[in-house]
Amino acid sequence: MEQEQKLIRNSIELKTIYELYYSELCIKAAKILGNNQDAEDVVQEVIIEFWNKRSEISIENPRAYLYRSVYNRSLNLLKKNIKLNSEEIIEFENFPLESSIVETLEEKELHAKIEKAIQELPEKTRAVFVLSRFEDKTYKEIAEDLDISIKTVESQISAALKILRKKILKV
Amino acid sequence: MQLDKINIELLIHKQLRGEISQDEQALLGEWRLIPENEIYYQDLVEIWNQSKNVLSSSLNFDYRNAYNRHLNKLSENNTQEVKPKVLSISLLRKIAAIFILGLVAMWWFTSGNQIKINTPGYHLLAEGSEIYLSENSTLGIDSKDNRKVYLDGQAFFKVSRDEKHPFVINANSGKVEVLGTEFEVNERGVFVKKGKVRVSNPQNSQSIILVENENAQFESLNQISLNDENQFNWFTERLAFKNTPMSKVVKEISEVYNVHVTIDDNSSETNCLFNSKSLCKLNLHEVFDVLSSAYDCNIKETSHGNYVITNLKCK
Repeated sequence: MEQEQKLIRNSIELKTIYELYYSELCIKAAKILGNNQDAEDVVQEVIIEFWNKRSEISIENPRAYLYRSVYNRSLNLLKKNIKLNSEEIIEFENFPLESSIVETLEEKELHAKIEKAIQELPEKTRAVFVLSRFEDKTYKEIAEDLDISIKTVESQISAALKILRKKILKV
Repeated sequence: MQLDKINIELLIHKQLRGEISQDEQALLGEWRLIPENEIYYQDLVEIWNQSKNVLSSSLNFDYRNAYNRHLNKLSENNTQEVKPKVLSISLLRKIAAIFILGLVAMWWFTSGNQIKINTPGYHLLAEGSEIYLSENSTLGIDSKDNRKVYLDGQAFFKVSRDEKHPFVINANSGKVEVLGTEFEVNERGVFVKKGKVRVSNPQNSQSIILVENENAQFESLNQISLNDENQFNWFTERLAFKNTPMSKVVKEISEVYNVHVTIDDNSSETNCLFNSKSLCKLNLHEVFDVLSSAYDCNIKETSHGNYVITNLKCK
């Protein structure tokens, strides 16, 4: 009886964890990784680990714990991806001035274009951009998280903005 | 630093993040005096601002598959956490019915083979249904048939759909069977929103099937049409906001969680309109997380049970 009660309680808890956190954790991971499948894999690994460890460690704030774990694990994968896709950034000529985004694009259209453009950035550039944009990290934090220099972070941020604008304006 | 040598995108980015130094600010200001440059500046500002939310809206993840995979993994490992078989099957069932059950008076739990839940608040039952139990209430789940429950007190139910296997709620004043539908129950009786529900009175073994927009009382089991369905919304509308001013949101949160939340005087914009699905499943800190991410505001506990929201900005 007690055993069964425990089983039921456990499954209630586990489902609640998935229900409350799965989707938002996946969104967080997907923003960092730029890939939904990878994001779901990362989140599932984190929850499984969390579940297996729950009796050994005391976790006061599961949400914060899960968020931190998802972030760290996403970072690890991100670093691997950057190494695999270490394409050099194409040097961009000076910015084109023929038209402006504000005047030419509707908001909805702009959102779709920005989304696509972010996904198409070279992996390192994208990584730096999303950590700054979605995680609100400083240059120093990004440099530490990705094991790169602050100089590189700065040049990647600049490259990201240049490329994004160019891609968005391109018909 | 000369204007043609500087990394202008970086300066703009620093400006957007509020990390720009005074010297850099002056430099950027000078650069922006040229109309072409100003257009470029505005473009980058637009890209930065608009990109903040681009990915969240288009991403959509369903937890059910992942949860089932996790359950499978656990049973493979054959650890203590193996779930009763019925679990994984029931999870696939679509949640289809919502109702409120409020049955006062004492319920005598006749059989001993029950799993009892008496913590007030949100619970997920093993077969996939969800309940929100009121204070001083107890829910018993039949250990042989987990779609058979006994209620003493008041609860809100969201029942997973299974046409072949009705969800049965027993209470001393009546019995409710869910046949795959949407309905609500309070202490007086049952109100059906959609589909069919069977209500029976065990004392005289009378039973009645209710259809859309009908209600019945346990005592008499007379069918009556009901106009005012709002009286049943006490649960589902809790902490759901539609264009609600923040001042009101804060008041309701204070009531529900029995705390005192205020907005500090410097946040002049207490009339920001807040929209949200019902937050009633969340704990107080999770509700604060939702608010602070919606408005970039800070929420601090000043003394026990007293919270202050600072830096509130409407979006």
